[in-house]
Amino acid sequence: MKLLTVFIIWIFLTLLLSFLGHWVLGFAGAFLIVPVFRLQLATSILIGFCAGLFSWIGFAWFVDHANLGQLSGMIGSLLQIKSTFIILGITGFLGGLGVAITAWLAARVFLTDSSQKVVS
Amino acid sequence: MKRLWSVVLPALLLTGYVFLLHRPIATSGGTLPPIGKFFNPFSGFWQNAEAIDGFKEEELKLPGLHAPVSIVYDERLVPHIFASNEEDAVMTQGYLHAKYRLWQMDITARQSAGRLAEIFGQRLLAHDQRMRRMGLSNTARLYATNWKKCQEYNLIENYTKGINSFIEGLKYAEYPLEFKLFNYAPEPWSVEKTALVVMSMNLMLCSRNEDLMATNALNYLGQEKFKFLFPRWNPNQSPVIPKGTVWSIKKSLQDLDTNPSIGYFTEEMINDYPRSIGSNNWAVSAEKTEDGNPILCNDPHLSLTLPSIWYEMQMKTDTYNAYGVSLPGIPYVAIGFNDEVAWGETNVGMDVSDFYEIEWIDSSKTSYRVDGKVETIKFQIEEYQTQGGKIIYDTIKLTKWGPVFLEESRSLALQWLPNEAIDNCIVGTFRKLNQSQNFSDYYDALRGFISPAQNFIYASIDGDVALKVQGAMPIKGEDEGQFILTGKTSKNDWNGYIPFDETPFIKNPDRGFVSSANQQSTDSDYPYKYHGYFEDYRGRTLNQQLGSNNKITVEDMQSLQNSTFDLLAAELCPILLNHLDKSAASNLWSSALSDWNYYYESGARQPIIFETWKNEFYNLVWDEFSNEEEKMSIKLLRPEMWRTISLATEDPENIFFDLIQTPEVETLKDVVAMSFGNTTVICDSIFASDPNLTWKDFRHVSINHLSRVPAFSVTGIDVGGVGTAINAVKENHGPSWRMVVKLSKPLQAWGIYPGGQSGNPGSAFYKNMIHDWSQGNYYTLHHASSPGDLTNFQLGTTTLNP
Repeated sequence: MKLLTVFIIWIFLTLLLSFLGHWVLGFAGAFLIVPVFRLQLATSILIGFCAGLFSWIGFAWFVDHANLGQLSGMIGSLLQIKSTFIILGITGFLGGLGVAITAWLAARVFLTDSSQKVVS
Repeated sequence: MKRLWSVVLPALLLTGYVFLLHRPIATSGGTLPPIGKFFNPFSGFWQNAEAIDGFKEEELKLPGLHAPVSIVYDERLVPHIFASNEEDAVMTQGYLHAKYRLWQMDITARQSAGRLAEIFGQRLLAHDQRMRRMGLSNTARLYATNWKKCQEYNLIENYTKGINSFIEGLKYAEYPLEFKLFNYAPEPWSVEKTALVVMSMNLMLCSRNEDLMATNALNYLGQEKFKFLFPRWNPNQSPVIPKGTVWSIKKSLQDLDTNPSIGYFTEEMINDYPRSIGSNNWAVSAEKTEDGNPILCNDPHLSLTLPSIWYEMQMKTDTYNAYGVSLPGIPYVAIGFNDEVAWGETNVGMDVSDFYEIEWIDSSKTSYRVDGKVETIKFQIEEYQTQGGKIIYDTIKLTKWGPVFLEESRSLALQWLPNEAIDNCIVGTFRKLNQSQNFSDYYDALRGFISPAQNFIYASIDGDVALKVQGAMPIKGEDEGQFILTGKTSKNDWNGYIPFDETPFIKNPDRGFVSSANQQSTDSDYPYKYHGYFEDYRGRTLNQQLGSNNKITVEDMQSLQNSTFDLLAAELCPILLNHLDKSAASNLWSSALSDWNYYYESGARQPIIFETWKNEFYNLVWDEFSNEEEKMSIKLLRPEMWRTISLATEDPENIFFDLIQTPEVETLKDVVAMSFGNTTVICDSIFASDPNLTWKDFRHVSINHLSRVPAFSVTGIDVGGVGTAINAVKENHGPSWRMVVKLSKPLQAWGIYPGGQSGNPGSAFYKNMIHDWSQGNYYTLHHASSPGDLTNFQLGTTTLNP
């Protein structure tokens, strides 16, 4: 349950930081989440990836939905990708990977092996 | 150490990842934008995906305004500006042009400035060099300086401020999509950039040059045959100023040394713009209309692009109320109407681009001889930045006529009118037209207009209709400018321009209408001589139609603008069919043509058959030209289609119908038979692969994005028409704006253009009008007196405060 809470907080933090500053700043949420919730390395990377993926995909889907897929269809055609879902998938993957790597770094910076524990 | 590496490794990976996300990706097909910048949903392309049914009401600050300005957008996102004064209206126009068409403005200015390689890479360097060599960038600088003398300069500056206010407030997330895609940032706008946009119009409308091909044709044929095949006047033409007009001008032409340089020129001149680029406009007087109100119509035929060349808008101040289409980058409405008058333009097509062959003094090619005296070249160093920051230098040599444009086996200098016409205060003309209240205002507005020459049409609620062929038109001798001229003598220099009051003009003619369709401006009785690239069929069709109807309605005019009837086909097709043998005449394809009404409807198949036959016939008739071209590796000017038809009508056994590669002597009948044989083979083949093929599928009409990115373009548009019909739709050219204005009280108007008000591919208003345009539909133009008039059509409002 707590992992779900962390996941949701992380999504909102990613969105907030991305809007407040440069979009790369959204990755930096890991430096807050990982030490505060003392996440294990693997958990940090996994939840970080999911939070990045969902925040990027979620927001892109929200925009795309209001646009009825007009622009994503054109970008898909430009990149010779037939499905809008793949465009959304690429978007989410890029965000997820960024947050996951940052979470990895945060876990290494803030947590020693003995101090890591799973939030459950 | 292990712990250190455990931190450094992800740190390096993250740095590398972020670096990669910000780096453009070079591929064999071009450069992709930085993937992270482009894909992130917070500032990348997703931010350009506008909500389809959302409109954000806004209240913004626009520093420099004197008073609040209200902008009401109607259901097609057409802004209706309500400002208390002209300065504010123009500044708001600049703001709106930038808001909806910033990338289009940027790329248009860059194209003229020869700066496309900065964005698209070295493959466009040759294009940039051509633009600089033609002098567009230099001339734009001179325009911007000279405009300081125009009354309108402070208004142009206000317009620029409006654009820059928008640019200054832009965050990356708000950049137009193309800036993100091509990974660069908008630059501040300037008066010079407005001048560059003016130069791009000149490039499109008056840069065509066939001098090389004409000189080669003269060399091949000799004077007598050349004059026979290329007569200056088409006797069947129905000129802009009606035949038989008596001219009060007394002009004795100076004896010019027009002997062209003899010999073949193997160089090739790039002619990007089609021969008959142009438009239709006409105005019918109150006596000819059913309800007694004059009607003015205009449909400029230009490159069909996305975003469209036009941006529709209304500009209402305390003193005037203009509506129409504007050119993003240039202030005021270019084609439109106000409460009292309507106006429009078509291209004149006069040849204002001449080549002079330079006689160098020695092999260093730094000085040349004119009238026996030595003139020295001036050098201009041009710097080109290419994508990636590489800098390339080029030297342009400048002669007394203009830049050395071609320097190969023979050297040619280019004299091009826009480079000479540096007092070209085009903005002043548009401003005065926007504010015209009567005929004298209209006539006076045209005084400052120099280039590109236009047929300015006019109608008023007072009942006047008029048309003036306006622009600087060099005074020329009989053949001057058609061929490459020798630069040895100054006798071949231009001899000034036709004075303003002597350019062709007509007001309230007896026939009850004025019209133009890029045909010759006058008949051969006009005292000044001119050469140009004129259209031979649309003007005749138009004048026949207007002359035969004395109860004209708005619906008639809309229908005429959409007419796909082709007079060329109506004249040539019967000739071809009549010369066919009986056996061939019962052929499937010839039978289809026998039943044809000469309309190029999108769903018809006869246009495919006729176009195939016409091309086969034309190529066979002029086979000697292609043979010589191949033998000598040159390009030759070929006779026009009207001349081919007149030769077939008047002299079917003329020697030019003989095919030079056969021992027999062929006549028209033989050429018709052979071309029909070829046509049968071609049609059998194309209809075998698609029995339901129609004109719209055969002649593929596309409206391309300005960057030619297919994803942002619209292809395969279901539309009829052909270049020589009034609805002159070609593959990617055609009626870029159709407008019909009834000069009633109050004035009523209808219009449409193939595109949308927004330049953003992610907007619902990017291409929303294309379907209606292709179907020949029109929108009612809401010419409001106050914001309240728009209540029923309102999409939303924006208020701009000082």
